[in-house]
Amino acid sequence: MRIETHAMHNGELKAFNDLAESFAKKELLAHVHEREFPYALDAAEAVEAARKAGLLSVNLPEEWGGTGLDASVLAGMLSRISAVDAGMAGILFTHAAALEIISAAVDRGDCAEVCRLVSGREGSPLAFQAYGGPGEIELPAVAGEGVNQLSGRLPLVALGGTARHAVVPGARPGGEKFSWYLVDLSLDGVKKSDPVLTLGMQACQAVDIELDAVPALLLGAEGQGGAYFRTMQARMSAGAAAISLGIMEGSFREALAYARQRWQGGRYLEEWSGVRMMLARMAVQIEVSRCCLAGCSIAGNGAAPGGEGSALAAALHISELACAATSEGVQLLGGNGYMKDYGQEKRMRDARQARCLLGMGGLKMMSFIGRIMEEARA
Amino acid sequence: MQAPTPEATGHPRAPLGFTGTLNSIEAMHRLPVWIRGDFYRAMELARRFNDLVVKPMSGEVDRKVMEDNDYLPRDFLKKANEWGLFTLWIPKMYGGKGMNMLSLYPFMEEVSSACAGLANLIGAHYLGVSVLCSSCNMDITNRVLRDVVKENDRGRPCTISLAWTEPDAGTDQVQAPLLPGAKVRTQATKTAGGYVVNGSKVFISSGHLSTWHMLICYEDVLKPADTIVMLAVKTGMRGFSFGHKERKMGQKACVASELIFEDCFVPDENVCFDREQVRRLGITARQAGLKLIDMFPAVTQPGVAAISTGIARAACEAAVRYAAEKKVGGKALINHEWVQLVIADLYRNAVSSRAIYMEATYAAGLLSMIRLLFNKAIFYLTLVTPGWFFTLFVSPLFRLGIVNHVYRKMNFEMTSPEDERHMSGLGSLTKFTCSDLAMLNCSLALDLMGADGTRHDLGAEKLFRDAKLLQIYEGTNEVNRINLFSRHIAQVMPGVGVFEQGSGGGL
Repeated sequence: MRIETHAMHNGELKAFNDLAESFAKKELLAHVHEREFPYALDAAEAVEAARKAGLLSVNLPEEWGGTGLDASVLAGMLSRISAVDAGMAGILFTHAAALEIISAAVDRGDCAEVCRLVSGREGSPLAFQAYGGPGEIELPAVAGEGVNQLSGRLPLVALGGTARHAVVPGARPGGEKFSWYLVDLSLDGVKKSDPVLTLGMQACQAVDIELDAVPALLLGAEGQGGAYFRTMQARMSAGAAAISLGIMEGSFREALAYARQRWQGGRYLEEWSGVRMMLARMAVQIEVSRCCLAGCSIAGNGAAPGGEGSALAAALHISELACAATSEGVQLLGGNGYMKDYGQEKRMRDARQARCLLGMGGLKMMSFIGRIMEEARA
Repeated sequence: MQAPTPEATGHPRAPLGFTGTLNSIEAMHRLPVWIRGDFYRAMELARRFNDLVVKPMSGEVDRKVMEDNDYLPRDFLKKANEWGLFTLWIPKMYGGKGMNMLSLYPFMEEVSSACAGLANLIGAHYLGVSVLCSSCNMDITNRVLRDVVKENDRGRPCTISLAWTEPDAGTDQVQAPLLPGAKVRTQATKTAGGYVVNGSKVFISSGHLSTWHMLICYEDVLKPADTIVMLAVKTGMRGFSFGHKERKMGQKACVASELIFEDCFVPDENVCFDREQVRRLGITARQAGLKLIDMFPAVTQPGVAAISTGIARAACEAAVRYAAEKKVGGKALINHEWVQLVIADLYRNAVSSRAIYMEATYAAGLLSMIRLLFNKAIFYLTLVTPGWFFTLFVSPLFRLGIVNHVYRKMNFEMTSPEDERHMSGLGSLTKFTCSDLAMLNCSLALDLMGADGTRHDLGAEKLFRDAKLLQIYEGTNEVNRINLFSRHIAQVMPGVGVFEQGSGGGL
C-alpha cells in the first residue's frame, strides 16, 4: 500500500512500513498455510518475532514505553502484512484495538497498574473481541463494589487462547450502559474453549470464554464503554480498511502473475479481453481503496473535520470491495484459485473475515447514518 | 425509402431466442404427467435422507477433511448406497431403478441444502453416468451400468467419475471452439486390441471413491478436436493409479483427485467413443466429437444449478434462523426493517434460482439427449415394464452393432442444430446464473450474521466456501457467459465473432 499522506513522507514512518514489509516476507511468507487450521504451526513464533520487531507497540503511547505513532502508520503496516498473511495482521490489529480502548479509557496520570501490564516490548499481546461491536456482543454481568467481578459468556475473543490479559466489556444488571474491563485470563473462573474454527484470518485464533465471578480492573469511567469504543473505532477503522486493502493487493498480484503465465484456449490468459476487464476491475477497486484510505488517514489525524466518520465509511466500503475483488481473484485462477496451493482462496476467506472487524456491517452502517442524523439535528 | 437490410445495420437478422426459453409452457402438454409426482417423491426422499444421513455428518466430514486431507467419507457412500441412490436414476434398460432423470435435479437441490459436498458425491456419479450415456454406445453403457447396479446390490458402493480436466487444460476443453487450442497432454495411442493411455487428469470429482472413470482423452494431443476418445477405465486396471487429493476451499466431502495413466492399456470393449466408431455416421470425426462434448453439459449443468439453488436456499434459511434468534439493542434482529429487506432478497434469489433451473429441466426433457426417455409412449411403456424384461430381452440387443449404430445415428443426427444450440446456451445460462445467485446469497447471509457467520460451528461459512466452486466447475462462469452469447445471440448477429484472436488487445 502506498498511502501518500502528509505523514507518510516522513522517513521514520516509511521505515515502519518497510519494517512491516520485511517482517511479512521474512517471518510470514513461507508458512502462511501452516498457521491456518489445523495449525501445523502455532502463530506464537511469528508473534514473538513481531514483538521483537516492535510491531506490538506501534500505537502504545510513548510514556508507556511504546512508539506512540498514529493510526495511519499502523494502517500502512497492517496492509503490507495483510498482503502476505491477513491472519497475522489480525493479531496485530486485535492487540492495537485493545490498546486503543485502554488509551481512550485510562487517565494517563493514574494508570500505574495498566501501564505495568501492557507497556513496553515485554508486554504480551492483549485479547479482544475484535469482530464485535456494541449492541451485538453479549455483555458479561458485573457485580461487586470496589472489586468488580465479571460473569458471563464472551464469544469469539481473538487471541483469548494465548494472551494473558483481555480487554472485555461488561455491564451491571439493569444498567443501560456498559464499561470496559481488563481481565487476567489466567485466573480461576476463566474457562476457555478450544480455538473456534473461523472462515478466515485463522492465524489470529479466537476462543469462546466463560467468566465466573472473575475479578476485573475497570478501565476509565463506569458506563463510558460506548464512548471509548467510538474513539477506538475512529482510530482503528483505518486499520481494518488497510487489512482489506492489503488482502486485495495480494490477490491482484497473484492474479496478474497467473494471467501472464497461464495458457488457456490457445493463448495466454492476459490476452483475453474478458480477463483484462476482470483485472481492471480489481485494479480500480484497489486504487479507489487507496484513495479512500489516504483520505481517511488525513481526516483521522485531525487534519480535517469528520475523521471518525471517514474511517468508518472507508472500512465499510473497502471491505466490501475486497470481498468482490478476492472472489474475482479466485475466479481468474479458475480451479487453481480454489485450491490451497495458491493464495487466492485464503484471501477470499480472509476478506470476508476482515469485513467483520469491529462489528457487523449492517450495524456499522446504522451507526454511521445515526451519527450523521444526530449532527444534522444539532 | 428503402429500409436498410439487417446486415447493413448490424441488427439481428432473426429475433433473439427469447421465445425458445418458455420451455415450461411446452412441457405442460409434451412431457408425461407422471414426472410431476416423481419430483415430489424425489424431494421427499431427499428430505428424509438429509435428516437421517446428511445433516448429522455434514459439518463433521467437512472438519475431518480440514484436519486430514486424505480422509474419504466412505461411510457416506455406504449409506447412500443403502438408500439405493447410486442406481435410482439409472434407466431400467441398463438395469437401474429407472426413476425419471429429471427428478434428480430437485433431489440434488434438497440434498445440497444440507451439504453440497456430500450431494456432489451423488451428483458426480450421475455426471459420469450422463457422459457414459452421451457416448451413445449402448453396449458398453449397458455393461458398465449393470456392473454398477450389481456391485451396489452387493453392498459395495460403485460409482462413476468423469475424468476430463488436465493440469494445463480446463475450461478450454469444455468449449468446442477452444478445444483446438487447448494444451492437452493425455494421449490414447491405438494399439492391437485397444488403446494405451499416458497422461494425467486433475480436479476429478469423487475420483478416489469411484470404481469407473469416464476418461476423455485424445489420439493426437496437437489435434484434440479431431481425435477425441472416450474410454471406460476401471479402478485397478494396470497402468492406472490415483495421485494426490486437492486441498480445496470447500465441498471438502467430495474429493478432487488426480488420476495418473502410465502405459495404461484399455481394451477395445471399453472404448465408448472414438473416430472409428463414428466413421459411418455421415459426419466428420470432429463434428461427432464436438457434438459429444456439447450434449452432456446441457443435461449436467442444470444439476450444478440445482446444487446452487440448494445452497442459496440454505443461506436464506441460515440467515432467517439467525435473525430470529439474535438480539440487537434488545430487539430481535429479524424485527429490524433493514434486515427484512435483506431477507426478502435472499428469498427472492433462492426462488428465482429454482425457477431458472426448472426451466432448463423442462428443456432437458424436451430437447436434450435424454428426450427420448420422455416421449410419452416410451416413458409409460418403460414405467410398466418390469426390469427383468429388459435384462432378458432388451439387454442382449445392445451388443448388436446395428442397434448401436441406429441409436447413435438417431442421437447425433436427429438433434437439430437449433435444439443443440438452444440447449447449450440454456445450460450455460442456468449454470452461471444460479451459481452467481448462490454466491450472492451466501455473501448476504454472512453480512447479516457478522462474526457469527464466520464460525464453522454455525454452518453458514461452509455454504460460502462450498458455493464458490459452483462458479468454477463445469466451465468457469465467464466461459459459460461467452457460450450463451455465442449460442443465443451471436448466432443471429451477422459478422459477430466469438473467442477470436486478438480480442485482448489494448482496446
